[in-house]
Amino acid sequence: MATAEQMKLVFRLGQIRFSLPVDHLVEIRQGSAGGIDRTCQDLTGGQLGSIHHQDGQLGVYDLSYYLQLPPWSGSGEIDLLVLSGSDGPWAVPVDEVVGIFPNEAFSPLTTAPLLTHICKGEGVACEQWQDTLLFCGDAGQWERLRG
Amino acid sequence: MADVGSRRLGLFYSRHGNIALPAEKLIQVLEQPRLYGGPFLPAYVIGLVRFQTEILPVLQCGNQAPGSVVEPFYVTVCGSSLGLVGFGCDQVRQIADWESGRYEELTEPDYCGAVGRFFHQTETYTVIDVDLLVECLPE
Repeated sequence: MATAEQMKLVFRLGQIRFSLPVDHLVEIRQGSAGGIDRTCQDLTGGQLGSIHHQDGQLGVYDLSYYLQLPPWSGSGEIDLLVLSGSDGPWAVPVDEVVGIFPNEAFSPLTTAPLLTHICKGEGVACEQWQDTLLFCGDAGQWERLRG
Repeated sequence: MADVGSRRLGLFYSRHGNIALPAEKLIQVLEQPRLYGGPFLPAYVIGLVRFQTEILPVLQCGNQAPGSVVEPFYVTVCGSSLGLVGFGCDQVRQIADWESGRYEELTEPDYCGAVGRFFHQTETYTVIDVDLLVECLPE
């Protein structure tokens, strides 16, 4: 049986699909957009609010904000990825959780040097999954972007 | 005459402005390729395209209002000093010799990398120095 290190999550944020190693993930939660407590919302910093998690609150952040994508605008029932972080877990809403697949299902693609040059030095790695281009996610990089 | 390293030019029609690219830089023209969005892309990149096993940015040269770019029918893949780059266009016209038209150097380029105008038959094309253009792109 494949372990977490050998599996990746595929999800969609807006029109863009990402992969994420499963060991970067604490859990996937389903809930409603209305269930996000907006009292600590800080849209200028990308924080959408917080949710109850175990005995406390968990920050919910808009990953689109940090990746310079159109703002997340989900409503109704949503999926939240709870990610591991150096100072504790944090959560990001996504538009679709496609599934979890073994690493062998993904084929790496190279990125043109120009792409790295124009993406402000941020690593942009891509891979092929089925007939779809995926951007390789990294919870550590996202946490660093969050600041 | 500007030194764009070529005696021939690939001529491309675009509703955002015709472009001429040095023939030696041309690698392949992709017809109706799938364009992808992606993280961290500046506004001058209209998308990413897969070419063989490489992902490269597609630029829209020419003058257009922000947000007015329409997905191009063709993407011309070119080599550059920073690897592969794509240019969006609507029609592939032809490969033309310099002598088949008239060239004027631009003293005030519309954008960095646009080095001249090439007048060919009834059309005008902006001649692009691909290496200069990619090196000018802001990080």
